[in-house]
Amino acid sequence: MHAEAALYEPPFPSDQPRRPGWLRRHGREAAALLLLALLLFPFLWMVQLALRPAEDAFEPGLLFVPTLDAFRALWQDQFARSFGNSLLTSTLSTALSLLIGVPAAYVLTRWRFRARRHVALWILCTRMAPPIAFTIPFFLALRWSGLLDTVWGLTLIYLTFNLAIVIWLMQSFFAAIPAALEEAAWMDGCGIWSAFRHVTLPLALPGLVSTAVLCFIFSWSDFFFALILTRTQAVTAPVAIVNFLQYDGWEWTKIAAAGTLVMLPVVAFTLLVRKYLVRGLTAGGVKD
Amino acid sequence: MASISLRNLRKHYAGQAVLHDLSLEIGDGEFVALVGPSGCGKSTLLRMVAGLEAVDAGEILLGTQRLNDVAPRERNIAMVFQNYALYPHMSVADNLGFALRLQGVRPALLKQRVDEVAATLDLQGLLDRRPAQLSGGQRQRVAMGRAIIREPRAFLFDEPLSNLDAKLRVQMRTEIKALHQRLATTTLYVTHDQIEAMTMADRIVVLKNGYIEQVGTPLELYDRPRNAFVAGFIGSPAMNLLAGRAQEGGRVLTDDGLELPLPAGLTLAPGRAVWLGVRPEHLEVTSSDQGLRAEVQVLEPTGAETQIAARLGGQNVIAVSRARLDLRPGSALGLRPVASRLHVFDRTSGARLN
Amino acid sequence: MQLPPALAPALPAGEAGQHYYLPSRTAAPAAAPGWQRQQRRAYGWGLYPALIVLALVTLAPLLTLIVVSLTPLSLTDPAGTFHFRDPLGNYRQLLQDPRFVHSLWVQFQLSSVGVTLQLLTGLGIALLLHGRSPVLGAVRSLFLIPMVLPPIVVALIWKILYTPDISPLHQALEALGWPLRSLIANPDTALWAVVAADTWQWFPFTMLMVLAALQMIPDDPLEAARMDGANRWQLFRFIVFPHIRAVLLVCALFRLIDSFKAFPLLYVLTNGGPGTVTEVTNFYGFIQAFNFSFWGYGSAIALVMLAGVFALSALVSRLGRDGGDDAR
Repeated sequence: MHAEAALYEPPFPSDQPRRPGWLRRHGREAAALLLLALLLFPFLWMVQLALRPAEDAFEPGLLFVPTLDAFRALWQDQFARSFGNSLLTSTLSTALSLLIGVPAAYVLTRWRFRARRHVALWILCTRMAPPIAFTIPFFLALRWSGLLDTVWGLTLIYLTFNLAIVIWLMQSFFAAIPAALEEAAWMDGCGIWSAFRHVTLPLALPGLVSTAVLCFIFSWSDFFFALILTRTQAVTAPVAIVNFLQYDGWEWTKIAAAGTLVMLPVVAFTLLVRKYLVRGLTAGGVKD
Repeated sequence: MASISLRNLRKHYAGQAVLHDLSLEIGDGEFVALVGPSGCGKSTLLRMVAGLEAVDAGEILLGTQRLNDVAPRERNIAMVFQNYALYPHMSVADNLGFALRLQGVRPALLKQRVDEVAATLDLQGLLDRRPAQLSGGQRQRVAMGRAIIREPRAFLFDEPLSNLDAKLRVQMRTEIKALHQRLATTTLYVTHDQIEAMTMADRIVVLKNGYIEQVGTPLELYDRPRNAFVAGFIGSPAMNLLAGRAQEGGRVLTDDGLELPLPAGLTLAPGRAVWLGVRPEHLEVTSSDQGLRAEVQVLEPTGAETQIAARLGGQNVIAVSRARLDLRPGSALGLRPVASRLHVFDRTSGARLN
Repeated sequence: MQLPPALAPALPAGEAGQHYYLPSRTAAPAAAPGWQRQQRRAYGWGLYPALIVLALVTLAPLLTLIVVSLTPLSLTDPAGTFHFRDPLGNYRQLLQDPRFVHSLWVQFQLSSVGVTLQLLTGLGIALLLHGRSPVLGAVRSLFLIPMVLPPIVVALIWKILYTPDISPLHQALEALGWPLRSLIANPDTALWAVVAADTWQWFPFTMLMVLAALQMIPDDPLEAARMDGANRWQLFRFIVFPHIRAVLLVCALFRLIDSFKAFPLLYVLTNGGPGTVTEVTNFYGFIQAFNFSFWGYGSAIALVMLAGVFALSALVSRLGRDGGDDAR
C-alpha cells in the first residue's frame, strides 16, 4: 500500500462507518492549494505590478487594465542592453565551462588515478567558498589587466562555479554509461576520444543539456560578481534592476517589469530540468 | 597467419596475482575454449588478448606480430562481449557497420557488407530496429555480426551465452560452431560452462586461480584428466572421487572400508593417500551381490538414461545407466567400476598417478 | 606454467622459416608509443586543461587573497600600501574591530534562525505535499518558484512588500486600522524582516530534499506500525523521522554554508542598515573592500570567512559519503 496513504489514513478502516466527507478526502489538496496561493502571493504581486499602468502603481485596488507600457518603457531605457549582456555572458560562460569541463569529467570517470579524491574535494570547496573570496582578487586582477567592466572578465569569474558544476554533474552522467560500450568501440576502431564522440556523448546528451541549462541559470542569476566587476559597459540585468531602484526608485511598474523579465528565462528553464535540480544544488556535497 | 601465442603472461590487481606465468599456443583456425571457475583469470586473459587490459609481464603474439603495446583498434581482433555491448543509440544496421564506417568504407559498399552479414545471421528484417527492441538471441547475433563484418584474424568470445535461456543456448551453440566451421577463424572462447566447451572447442584450456591445469582436446580431458580438479570439473554429472589409501598387493582401501583394485600396472607405496576416480557411466549397475553394495538415495530418470544417486559405504556416488531399471529409493544395488576406466589421483597434490 | 612437450600441439611451420619461440617485433614503426601510453596521453589532454583553468581560477585567486590580506593595500595609494611590514596587522585589527565582531553576531542570528525556519517550513510543507494526487504533484513543482527565482528578483519582490507606499501588506493593514511603519527601516525588526524573506526564498530546498527522502521510505514498517495502532504523530516520530534525519542534517549544513553568502537581499532591502543592524560579515567585508576600498582589510575578512566555510564543508563532505547509511 502506498506509504503516504498509510501515514494519513485512519488506522482502522472499520472505525469509519461512512465514506469520509469531502474535506477528509481532499483536505490535504485544499490546504496545499491555499498554502500555494499564500506563498506565491508575493511573487504574483510583483508580476501584476509589472502589468499595471504607471499611474496605478500606488492604487490599492486590484482592478486595472493590464498594459505592457512598463515593458516598453523598460526596453527603451537601456535595459535591453543589460539584458543582452546577461544573455551573452551566460551563454559564453556556459559554453566555455562545457568545453573545458566535459572532457575533464569524462577522464575523471574512466581513468583511475590517485588524486581523484583530491579533485573532488577541490571542486566541493570551490562551490562552497563565499563569493567575496574570489571577488577581491579577481577585481584586482581585472583592474590591473584592464578587463574590468567587460563581458569576458565576467565570463572568466563565472568559471569558478560553472566549471565545478559541469565536472561534478557530468561525472555522474558518464558513470551511468557502461564502460563495455566504449571498449566495444575501441575494438571496432575508435581511439579514446573517438569512442567518446561516437558512443559516450550521444548517450549522455540529456545530462549534458540539463547541465548546460543549470550553468545558464546560475550565470544568469548572479548578482554579486556582476555588481562589483561591471560599471557601465558590461552591466547585466540583475545589476540594472538595482540601478533602477537607486535612480528611478518611484517607477515601480518599470522596476517590477524588469524583475519579471529577469525571472522569466530562469523559471522556464527550471521547469525543464527540475529532475536534476537537487543534483545541481547539492553539487560536491552529496554522493548520488 | 592467425595463430595466437601467449608466453609467460603475468597479471596482478592491487598486489594480488591473477595470472601466473601463463603460456599457451593456439593454432591458426583453432577453436580454443577457456574454462574454469569464477575468478580463475579466464576473462582477464581474454581481455589481455583484446588489448583491454595491460600485460604486466610476458608476451602476446598474433602470428608473428607482438601485440603487447598495440592499441585494440589495430589488433585486427574482434570481441563478442558478455552483455553484447551493442550501441543503444544506433540501429542494428549502424551497429553492424560502425567499424567499417570508421575505416572510411564507401556507403554503397558498406551497405552491401551489412546486408551480407545480416543475411548470414538471419537479421534482415531487423536492420532498422534499436537494440532495446530486440530479443536476447537477436542481440547475440547482432553482437556476432558486428564482429564478423570486420573479417578479423581472430574472434574473442566472453561468455556470450550466459545471458540466454537454456534452449536458446543450445541453439546458439550450434550456430557459433557452424560459423566457425565456415569461417575457419582462430577463436578464443571463454565460458564457465564445461558443456559449451566440450561441444564447441577443438581444444580446451582449464584454468584455476591463474594457472593452467590442463590443455587438450575435449576427449583427452575427459578420458585422461591430469589432476583431480580437471577430473571433477569436466563431465556432467561429475566424476565420483572416493578417498582411500593404497594397500599391499595393488589394492586400495577406501576410508569407509571398501576394497577396490588398482588399475593394472600401477604400483603404489602402501599407505599413500589417493583419490579413486570413476565416472558415473563407468559404474555398472548390477545386483547387490555382484558388485559393491550400495543403497539408492534418489533416482533421476531423464528418459535417455537414469541417474542414480547412491550411498556407497560412507560416500555419496552417482551412477548413470542407459537401461531401464527396477529400482526405488532405499533398494540395494551393486555398483561395479569398470577397471579400465579408473583414475587414480594423489590426494595431496591432486596429480594423476596412472 | 610450461606445457610438457607431449601435451603441446604440433605447431605448423612459421612463415619464412621463423622460429616460433623467438619474440619478434611488430611491423609498425618503431617510434609508435604503446597503447597504455597512448591512453594516458589522451586522458591527459582531456583533464589537464581543466585542472589548469581550475587552478588559475581558484588557486591563484586564493593565493592572491592570502598575500593581499597580509598588506594594508587600499585604493588611495596602491603602490605605497603594498608592503609586508606588518603581515598580521589586518588580523590584529579584526580582533579589535567592534563592527566586525558585531557582524559575526548578526551573521549568527541570521544563519541560525533562518536555517531553522527554512528546515521547519520545508519539512512541514514536504509532509503536507507527500502524496500521489496530480494536484499535489503540480503544487510541488510550483512551490519551487521561490528557490529558482534569481536572488535579485526575490529581493525585489520583498522590497515591494516592505515599501509601505506600494505594499499590499501595509495597505491592507492600514485599511483594517492597524497602520504599520516600514519594517526594514526599523532597527528592531529589520533583521527579522530579512529572515522572513530568506525563509521564503529557501524553504523549497529543504522541501525538495525531504520529499525525495520520503519517497524512499519502504512501505512495510509503516504498514506494520499502522496495524499496531500507531497514530499519525507516532508514525512520524518513530518511522518517518529516522529516515529523513540524515537528509535534514545535510540540508541544514548546506543552507548554513550558503547563508554566509547572503547578499542581494541585504543589499536591496536594508543595505546593511539601519545602522549596522543587518550587517553580516559578508556584507561588512563587501563594504570594507569595495566601498572604502581597503582591499587588504577586506581580504582578511574574506579569509576568515573562508576558513569557517572550509571547516563546515569538510563536515558536509564526510556526511555526504557515509550519511546514506544513517537512516535504516
